[in-house]
Amino acid sequence: MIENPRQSELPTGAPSLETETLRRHKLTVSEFAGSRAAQERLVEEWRQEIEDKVQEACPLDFFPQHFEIVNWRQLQAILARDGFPRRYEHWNFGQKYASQDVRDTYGLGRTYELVINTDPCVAYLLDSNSVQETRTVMAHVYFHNMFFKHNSCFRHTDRKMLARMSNHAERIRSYQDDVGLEAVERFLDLCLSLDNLIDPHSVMIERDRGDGPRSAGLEKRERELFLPNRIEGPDYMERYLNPPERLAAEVAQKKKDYAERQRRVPISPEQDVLLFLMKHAPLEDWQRDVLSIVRDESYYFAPQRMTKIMNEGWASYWHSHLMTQHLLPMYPSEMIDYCEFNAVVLAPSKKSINPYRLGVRLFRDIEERWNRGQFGREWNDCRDMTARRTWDLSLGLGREEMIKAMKTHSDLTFLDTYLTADFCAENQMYLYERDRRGSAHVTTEEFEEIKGFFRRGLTNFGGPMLKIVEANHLNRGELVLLHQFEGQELDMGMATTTTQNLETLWERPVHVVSKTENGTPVVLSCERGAFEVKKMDSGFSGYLKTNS
Amino acid sequence: MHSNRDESKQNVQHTTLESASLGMEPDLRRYREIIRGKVRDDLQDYITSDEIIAQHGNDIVSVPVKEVQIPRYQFGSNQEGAGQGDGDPDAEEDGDGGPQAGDKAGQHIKEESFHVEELADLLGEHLELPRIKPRLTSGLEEAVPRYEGISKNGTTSLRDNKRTFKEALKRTIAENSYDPDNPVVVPVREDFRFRSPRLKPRPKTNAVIFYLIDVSGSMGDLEKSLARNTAFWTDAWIDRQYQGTEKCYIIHDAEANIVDRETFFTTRQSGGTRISSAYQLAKEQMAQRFSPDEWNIYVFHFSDGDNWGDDSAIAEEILKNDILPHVNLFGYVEIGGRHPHGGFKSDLDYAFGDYESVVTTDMEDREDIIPVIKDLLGTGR
Repeated sequence: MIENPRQSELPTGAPSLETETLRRHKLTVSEFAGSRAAQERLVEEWRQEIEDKVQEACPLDFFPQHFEIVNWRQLQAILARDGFPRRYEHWNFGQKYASQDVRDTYGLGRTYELVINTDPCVAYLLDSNSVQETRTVMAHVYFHNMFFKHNSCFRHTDRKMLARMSNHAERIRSYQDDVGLEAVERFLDLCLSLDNLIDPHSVMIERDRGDGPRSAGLEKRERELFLPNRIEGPDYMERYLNPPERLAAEVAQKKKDYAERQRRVPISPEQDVLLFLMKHAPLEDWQRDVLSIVRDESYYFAPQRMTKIMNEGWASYWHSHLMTQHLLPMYPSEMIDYCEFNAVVLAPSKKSINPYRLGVRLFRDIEERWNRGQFGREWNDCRDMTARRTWDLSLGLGREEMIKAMKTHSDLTFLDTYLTADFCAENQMYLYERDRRGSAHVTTEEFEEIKGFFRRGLTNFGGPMLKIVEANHLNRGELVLLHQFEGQELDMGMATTTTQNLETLWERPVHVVSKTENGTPVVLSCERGAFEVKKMDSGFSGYLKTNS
Repeated sequence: MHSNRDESKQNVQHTTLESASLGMEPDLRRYREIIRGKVRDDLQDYITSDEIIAQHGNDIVSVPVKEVQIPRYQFGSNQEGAGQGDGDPDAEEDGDGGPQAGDKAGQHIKEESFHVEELADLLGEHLELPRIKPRLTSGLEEAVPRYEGISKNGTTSLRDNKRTFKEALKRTIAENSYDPDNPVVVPVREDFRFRSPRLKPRPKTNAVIFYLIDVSGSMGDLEKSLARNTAFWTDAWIDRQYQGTEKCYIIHDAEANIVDRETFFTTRQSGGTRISSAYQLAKEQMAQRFSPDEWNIYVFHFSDGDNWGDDSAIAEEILKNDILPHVNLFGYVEIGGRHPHGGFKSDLDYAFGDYESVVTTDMEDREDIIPVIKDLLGTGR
């Protein structure tokens, strides 16, 4: 049956068709269209229709969009590899595939789609989703695409990542041939264990390489660097308070310290541990290359982890807009299906924050506030509740502000900028804690606390920030990392193995300067595979101050 | 419409993706190897729990395994969370949670399927059990095909390309049509060589295992569970060693009965104990069905040793005359310190202490299962 069944069921106005239509729209794409070729034709037809509507609704452009229809097994495999059909061999992909298998077999959670950040943008559609779900998902996908293209976090990602991943796979395959499967696996395990030790913001920093014209600001800063401490006093005391010899000695000392600092490795604390290891660890060529592959991929995925709430919010906002205003369903029953789908995706959760919901609510909040002019000093200072409720300057800046926010923010700054006390109250947000027996109790509904929770959870992907502060501790080539303690203790079990892995790579003892939960400084040391947690001693206390 | 569904399922082959789903194999295989290693490390826990035996209906059992985590620097357990709603974070969620469910990577417990044989191998490795040396390899032989021969006829799938090429080369040179500057060799029909099966006789070993379990009233639930666990893993290991073992499950209290496997592993019964009844039944079975000249015979007996006073002597007599002379191994496991006065084990030790084919051991709790298995099978007989 090659003909498109949709032709034969265009509504004729006869009410008896309603039930039949309802049944039809519950069908999956593969049931609806039949053969894979027919499915592709159908999706292509929808693609054109939806693309027109997207352009009509939103002023921003997007990458060319490609849809690939897959069955659930294929989707599982692609999901296991984070959206890339070709990646290097590693057991962890097998594990993800296996747990995906369990999830799908037992129907725990569903994956509707998967979009990857490439140009052209590739999205996978599941052939067992219903017709209606598929159309919604396609609309949704276009706005992920747009987000990838316009959000500043993604500006430095490689849009040809499909080819690059495939190239990575090929390189690793060749190393497997050279040194054996086991050696490569062992080394990959080490690298993956450290793959969160990167500096995702570093790609945005344009470093002064000293070859351009020197800016006045820079020279001023350098002068300030060597400024001696002056004691303020009346002029006639100057000679005694600030004797020129002392000032000169102090400047000389500062210059000497600075010069020494410049000789040290690293000069300033290095957050990109992987890059540092590539440059300085005693690695063989193939190992350095494997490390660079892991680092490349980690940097590629970082922006997606940094913009989960925004990305999903943005796409959900627009798919709702499209489905209710531009892509009006062919049959009323379809609207019900859409609403049901949407309700499931955007359902609030009492135990966690649904990023789809939070994101879409925030974007709607922004739209409304900027449309009504509910921002700026006057609004913030206004304490008259009646005035606030009816506040409407009819500025119509909503969309403009949304687009601005979408382009410039990451989740962290987005929430910092746009999450308001009113919003938290309206959405009944709260924090909870689990007691020893595992039951949860609400601890607070205070806005500042909630905001703090998000800030902690979103800074550095919600993980600890570690920087290399010294690579030649005691002139013995020992590596020292500083954990920038913000009140949360490291997981010691994990830290043990990770530090051991780091030592294996560095081939010299490794120390991590950190603190316990109550703030007592400790040093986690690993020497020849033996791990111990030591009390802070004078040899390390200096590093606590090295905060760049 | 419905036939379309099947058609589309077969029709999944698709450009680049075809290899994608197939490409999962090496990763999956390696992951399973790692899991297997973990299971081997924690084998004790798996073996001593009743969980696996409870699903013994199948040869495939599922074993709970923890997620293998790649270690990373991360924060310790954090009991803090955020939610939204009417303020009861413990309340049951409505609906299926939508696509975000399962987003968080926690310590998931997954079920991995294992073949019982595989677990038996792991057990063997873990305990360093010796391969069993069959007492007799009977006169019986079975023919096993092996692809060792070469023939001029065969199917394409069995074609031996190297030999075929050699033949073709020889013929080309013999025909004087070989040109070193253009070394094209085209095999013709008679050059083809195929690998061919040859029937190889292999000595056949038959084994029969008698499992005798005491289900009398004095055996509590724990004792029975211990007996079953031990029997199960012993069984699994011997199964690995012999092709086609016969089993004979006997339960006894004051009377003995032959039961099927299912019943053996599940029966609860009560009553007095007459061990001799079980030995008598085993003896009859041997005489009727399992001639000691053709079968390797194993007898494992699990009891709390709490026998009727005058019965022990009768039991010993049967053992001595009709059972021990014919068996590879007779294992007796006395379970439970709760009946120190029972002591059938000490009777056995006294009577047969110098028999090589007799192993006696005792156990009290789950910890003992592994050492007992080692005792029973460590002889390699």
